[in-house]
Amino acid sequence: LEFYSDLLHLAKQLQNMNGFFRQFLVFWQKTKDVFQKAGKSTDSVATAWIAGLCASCLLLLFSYDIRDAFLQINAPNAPMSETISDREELSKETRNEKRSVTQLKAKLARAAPTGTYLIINTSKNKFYLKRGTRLLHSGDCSTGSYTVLHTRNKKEKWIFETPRGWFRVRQKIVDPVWRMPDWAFIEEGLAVPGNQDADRFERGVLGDYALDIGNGYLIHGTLYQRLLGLPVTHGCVRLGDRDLEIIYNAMYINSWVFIY
Amino acid sequence: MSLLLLLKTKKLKKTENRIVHTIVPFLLPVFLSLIWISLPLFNRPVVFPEEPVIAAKSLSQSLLRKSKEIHLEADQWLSLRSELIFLENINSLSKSDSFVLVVDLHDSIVALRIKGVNVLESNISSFRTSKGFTHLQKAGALPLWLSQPFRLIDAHATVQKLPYKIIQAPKDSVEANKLKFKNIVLEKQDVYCEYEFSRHLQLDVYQAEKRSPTDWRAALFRIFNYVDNAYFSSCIDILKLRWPVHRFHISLEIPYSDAQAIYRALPGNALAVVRM
Repeated sequence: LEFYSDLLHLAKQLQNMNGFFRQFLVFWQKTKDVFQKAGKSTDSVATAWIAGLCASCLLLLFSYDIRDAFLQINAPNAPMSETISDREELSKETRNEKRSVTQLKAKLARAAPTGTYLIINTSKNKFYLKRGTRLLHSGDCSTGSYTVLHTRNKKEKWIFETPRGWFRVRQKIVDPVWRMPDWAFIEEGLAVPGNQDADRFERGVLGDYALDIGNGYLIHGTLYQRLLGLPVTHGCVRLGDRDLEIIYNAMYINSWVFIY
Repeated sequence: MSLLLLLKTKKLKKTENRIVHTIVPFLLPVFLSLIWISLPLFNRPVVFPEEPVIAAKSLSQSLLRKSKEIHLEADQWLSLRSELIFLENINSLSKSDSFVLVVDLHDSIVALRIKGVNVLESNISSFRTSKGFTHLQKAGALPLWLSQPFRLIDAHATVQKLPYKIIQAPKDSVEANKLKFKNIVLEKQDVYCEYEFSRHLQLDVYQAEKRSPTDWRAALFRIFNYVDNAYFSSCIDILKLRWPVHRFHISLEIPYSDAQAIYRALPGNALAVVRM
């Protein structure tokens, strides 16, 4: 039924249905002409061929449903088990299974990180601060914009993407200073200064705190608070001032950060 | 069409002509049904048990004859057994460093786990399984089929996996200022994803929200998905001299944003654990 509703939906989108039917009639006539020229055949032979081809097309189109229906009807019966035949044995087995399930559930609960950890959803641009299964805090953040920046001579390119996976907090920084990489100047249409040039260092743009998660990626603050919730960064994770303070205080060195 | 061209170019004798025109149109659907319908049915996702097994139906039915209470207990035992298999799978995957998709149809939950931690949990608003599962269940092969994690082979969706935008560096700061917020585009596309897993499992994840009336791509995607399952995938398998496959479908609906997040987060070789 879903398939038919989709077909109907698509048919509604077709603006010129008359044209479509006209084309079909022209095709039908041409096919008949080909048969008549080829083998002195009559209309009935052409019709048989077209019917055969149409039947084949329908068969191919609905072969999945035909197979599925066939599997349902023609299901073999499994050989009957004789291992559990009385109630006592069954009760014993049920108790064993219950115990195993409880043990496994406890084991899985223990496997979760014990301390606070941060989860970042790059599709929704949201963050969740958790401890165990408890949600401590959540809110909007900004992640990578998926922009690919090319230099004008196409020799260099940068991809502004937030990496996915699991990371650990390597460093906690107060009043971080941003050492601007080359792309920051190229993106602004400015000349790239030397490596230790004073123009490369900017204070205050990363907010009051930053958490280093490795490979040059930081979780930091932003001057563009109104863009929180949108994918606009160069790969780092930007947070609002208050959220950043909460996360900075809750997270420790080696705390887990999960990004997906 | 090639047949038509063949008829057009070759002049056949009268008797041959009659045979071609009367038999071939009727043989063609028969031949195709043999290839497209029969062949995939012989390709089983798991080896069906030949030894006596404790299958979902068989155990309950055999004990039902004795007492209704036993029947209930047997059902409880079987439910516990499937939960145990499911938890064992999750536990074994928690140790490995991978993204894992957990599909729990029993509790109507889809979850994404990274390194054993549930990072996303989404409620399934509705789900549908193909009729072929009855076959696996009756044959007693369903527990065996679910006993190992499924490996992702291929994934397609109406949304881009990585929505890259390519821009060229601006000439000067005036051009840079003009470009600054031009590239922020909010996606408003319908989300329909199709995941192909090992052991003939196909998982279709659709948005629970009503599709937008103007977005024709979602409808086209679903039609193509259907035709692909019925026809194209078998064609490719035959051309590659592989045995064609009949896929066991699970279609589920979850919120738009979660469907998109799962599609984008799952890497190429992700694993999935299913409980039915």
